[in-house]
Amino acid sequence: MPSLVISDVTMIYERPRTHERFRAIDRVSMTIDESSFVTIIGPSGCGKSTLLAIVDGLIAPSAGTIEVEGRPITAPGPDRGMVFQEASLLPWYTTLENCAYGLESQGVPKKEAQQRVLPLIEMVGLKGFEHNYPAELSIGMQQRANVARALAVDPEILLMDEPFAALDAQTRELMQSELLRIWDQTRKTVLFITHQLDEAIYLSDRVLVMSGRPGRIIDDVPIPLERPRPLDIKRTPIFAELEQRLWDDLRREIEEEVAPAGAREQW
Amino acid sequence: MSTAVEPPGSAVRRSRYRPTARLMYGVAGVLGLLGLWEGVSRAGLVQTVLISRPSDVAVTAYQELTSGPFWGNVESTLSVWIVGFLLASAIGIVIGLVSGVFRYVRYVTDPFLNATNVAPDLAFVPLLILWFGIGFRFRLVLVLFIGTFYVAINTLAGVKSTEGRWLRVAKSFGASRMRTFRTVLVPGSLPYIMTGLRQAASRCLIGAVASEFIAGNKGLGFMISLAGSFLQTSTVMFGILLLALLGIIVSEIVGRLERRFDSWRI
Repeated sequence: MPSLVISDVTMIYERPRTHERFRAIDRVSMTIDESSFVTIIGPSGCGKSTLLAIVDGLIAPSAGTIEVEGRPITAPGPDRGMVFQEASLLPWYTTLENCAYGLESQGVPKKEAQQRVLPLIEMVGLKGFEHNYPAELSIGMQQRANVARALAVDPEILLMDEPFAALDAQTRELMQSELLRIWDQTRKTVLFITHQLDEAIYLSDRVLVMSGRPGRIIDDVPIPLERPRPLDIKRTPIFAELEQRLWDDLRREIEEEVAPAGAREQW
Repeated sequence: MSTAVEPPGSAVRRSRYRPTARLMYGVAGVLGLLGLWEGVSRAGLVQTVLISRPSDVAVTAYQELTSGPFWGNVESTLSVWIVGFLLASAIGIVIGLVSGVFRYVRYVTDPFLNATNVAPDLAFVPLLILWFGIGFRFRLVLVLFIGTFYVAINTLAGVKSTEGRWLRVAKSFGASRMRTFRTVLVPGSLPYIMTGLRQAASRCLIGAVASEFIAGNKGLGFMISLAGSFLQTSTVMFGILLLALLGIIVSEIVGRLERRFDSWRI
């Protein structure tokens, strides 16, 4: 049964002063199976983060619909948990308070909410840091807390917006395998956004490629790698082939960004 | 615990922070200046009626501290200042928060806040005297007026500075408007609110003293201006030192309060 169905989502923005309209996302559709890990990659500015915000219900699309388990989505809800980019923990709350934020927002009493998130804090590897403020944690640890906060509301779908973008290369690799371990324990449906090709392949069952603005889905690549995946799977020939295919898809889009057709003629 | 073993003769790069040195140099500076002041006036290089001398100020201080009228003056200034500051804080925070949260309220309050920002506070004095006379009410209103503005404008800046990403988090997790206000907007604005309170505390003291200069019949400002017109320079100097001391105490208190509310900042 599909967990998430996105049908013909289009997003049109109006520029503030000129009132000129532009299309950020153009008729994007996808169907995501329950418990699968799907990643969207695309050049920067292609609208992939916007798409995720639409799925979360933070912004309304100009046209099109989102359904989670058959229910139409118009606002944020506990069936979806968002892992934001770095530094989205509330700085004045401890790890424990941050992780309990979603549950408390839904009316769960503070004590009970904090009790319930303790096992999650342990699962993401932050035991012992419950009472630290975000500024006392490394960025990697902050993102672990971020994941725990999203999991705490027990969502059906986990939405992840380039959660490892701010990490150094080594920490990022480590966090990727940690994420797979956590995903394996929870088996949530995951919709993940990144611009990192190896991250997309390593994590996902399926990678969707978005074009430059206006964002459209231009490729849908199944990832046939077996799980569990050790990190050195990134150095196998099949991994390299997948990376090549995604890069071929993206290269045209990025070239278009860097040197638009008009500019190229002048060269 | 392990001890680092250095090769003999190593030059260890030390921390350059010296708290005792800071205190010693500070005290030495003050004592040095007092000594210089005393010396210059004793040597007859300047007239004592113009700047008095530390030993005279000390004598005056002793006389004042043991006299009844002096404490009445202190009480008068402190009461205007404290009552004015507390009321200004409450009103300023409410104006700032409400203006920050509701866009249309902000459109209304913005011109007023901007106008009071550019107009010197004391320019309102004649008007206030006209409305409130020259008693306690006038002094309180002046202090209140000055303080409210600083608190309001900083609180408003705090709400506006609250980062969109935190508001998005609250929205994403389904926090109600009231909860978003309580868990994001207020704590997010708090550093700015504290800045506003610190500014307001010292400006309110200035306002309290100025109001006594202009229209008082008691208070430290009145004491200073009266002493000045009778050429009692020692009393003027004593008053100035006392106000400086008060200012230091207040900024210390507010600073401690600030750190207490800011423990999450590293």
